[in-house]
Amino acid sequence: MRSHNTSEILFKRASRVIPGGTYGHIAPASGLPRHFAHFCSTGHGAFFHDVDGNEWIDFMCAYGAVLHGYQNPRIEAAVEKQRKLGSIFNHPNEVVVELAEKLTQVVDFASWSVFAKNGSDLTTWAIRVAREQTKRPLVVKALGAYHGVDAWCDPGLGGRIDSDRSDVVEFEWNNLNQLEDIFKQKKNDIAAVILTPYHHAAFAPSEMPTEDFWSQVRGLCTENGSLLILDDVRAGWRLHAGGSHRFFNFTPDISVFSKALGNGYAISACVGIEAVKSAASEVFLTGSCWNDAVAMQAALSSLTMCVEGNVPQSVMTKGQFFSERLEQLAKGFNYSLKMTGPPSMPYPWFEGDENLFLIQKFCQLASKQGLYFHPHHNWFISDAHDQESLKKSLELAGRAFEELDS
Amino acid sequence: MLNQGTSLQAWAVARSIFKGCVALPWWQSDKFPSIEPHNCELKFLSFGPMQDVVFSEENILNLHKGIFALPEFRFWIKHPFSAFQKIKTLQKFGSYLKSREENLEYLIVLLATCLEATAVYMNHHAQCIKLLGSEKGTVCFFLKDINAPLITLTKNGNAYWETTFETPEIEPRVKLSFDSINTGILSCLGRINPLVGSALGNYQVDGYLPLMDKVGYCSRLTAKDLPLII
Repeated sequence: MRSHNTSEILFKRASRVIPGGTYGHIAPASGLPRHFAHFCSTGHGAFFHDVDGNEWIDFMCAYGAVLHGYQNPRIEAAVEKQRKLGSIFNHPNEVVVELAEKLTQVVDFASWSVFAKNGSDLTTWAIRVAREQTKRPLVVKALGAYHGVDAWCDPGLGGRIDSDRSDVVEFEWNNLNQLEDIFKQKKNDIAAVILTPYHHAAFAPSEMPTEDFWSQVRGLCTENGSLLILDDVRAGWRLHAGGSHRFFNFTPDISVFSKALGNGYAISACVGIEAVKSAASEVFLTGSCWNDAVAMQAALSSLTMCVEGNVPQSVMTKGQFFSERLEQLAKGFNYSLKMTGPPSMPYPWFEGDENLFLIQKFCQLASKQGLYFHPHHNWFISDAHDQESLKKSLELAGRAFEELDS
Repeated sequence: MLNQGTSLQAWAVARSIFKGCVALPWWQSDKFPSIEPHNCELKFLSFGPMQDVVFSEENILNLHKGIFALPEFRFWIKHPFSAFQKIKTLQKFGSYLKSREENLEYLIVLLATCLEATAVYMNHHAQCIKLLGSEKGTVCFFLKDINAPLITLTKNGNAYWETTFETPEIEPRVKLSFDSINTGILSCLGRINPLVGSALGNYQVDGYLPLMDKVGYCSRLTAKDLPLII
């Protein structure tokens, strides 16, 4: 029996001094609060330990922020070297230039880069750049898509006023007719369309773009003088080493990255085409710790490893191996499980389980086996997952299915 | 249903009193006259269709605050017997709520009272309508180790949200289960932080959580407008 006593004690302490104890996507209410720990202590490779000493085989990878595994030696060495020199100064460190150069080499359409700490910092900034470039107010996004914590897009319920979203128009993912109608109706008002590479909403199976989706979206943006912003925060470097647009064969005007970019060190980046570089310089952007040389060294190493080892292809192959076998395993117990979305970040969906009771039960039982399977969010494969850890996970998942079936 | 010109708060209080009374352990629908709220004259609400016990909206809100509130004389004098029965029921309901008993019956009455007010807000409050969007379905509230739901909040098709005491025939979209009677009571009184409560096992939520998040938000919004003073 896995104990959660220390975790609970810590959570009680936390709840006295932190609203809700923990918050946001890691808040207990969004997962399985009685089955997952609330606090972690260490992580190595594809495993982490919670504060009660329980070991978990991780399929969330810090919600995607860890691509090369926890405490990857090469990244940690680069980080340690920089840490000895210092992290934040009055002016940027040389590494900011190196990282910007690297990104403009790796991302084919990029001629410039800027950096911040979180995806939201730069998705919000990117739409402001689009407004500056086009002198138009409206932003089009997909219904249910997550682009960060700012008021124009956050999924929470509190603290909103009507004007927060008065300049945001939504369409259903893959519904090109709706998007065309929006462009017809608001022709000269649309600054940008912001989309994720595929639709990875929480509490729902992931949806890949239809065959002509991206070419049509690109075409509509170009015809109407609107910018196409790719929110590659979650998927970036899990689909393609040059950015997820390469996986789907289209070219955005701006892309925003975070999560896997720093392999767990807080950094986000926004890259763009030459034509919007001037507008980008007009829109104020800063943060006290945004020129964090340590995080930038982590990103530089992570990015170099991504390209050298074609890590996106590697995690895709590993994800394919795991997802196919998990689906087969489920089938053996007469459950129709579909691992939706790209295999490197699959979202598990039991057919007919619209209200999510079955996936919640399965993830609860898997948690007893030490598997960190999230019931409502896409999972993440890291390059630290190897055949041994994946096969072990499948064996443990089999035990969870057995218990589910009993 | 809420008429144009009727105060949302007064309507929510009247509906919550009605549902709370129906949940009373001794309530029998065939013996007690209906006290389901009806619109009466502008700014007046009647408990039951007979228009014998009629309160001004201001006095309905006074009832909620526990301040002495008289029904309109000109109405109850026409039907003194039924009016007397209803007033006694309302008094008993008020006393029962204040009794703060810690038993299953009390929890059900409290849930009915709070959830019906929430349902009214979910149907008519602009912010609630907006955040709920096209959500529908059934939310069941349980007590740990008891199979039947204590109460259900439901909306089918384009109808309104409402509370019922019947076990739904279809699978609910979301289930909330209190770990104890006391937890349920404290939750109704807004004394348990929903994030903390679920983390510490005060209650467990299963199913389509986004709907529960929205219901929870609407209930807190309702409670802010109409805090339960007992």
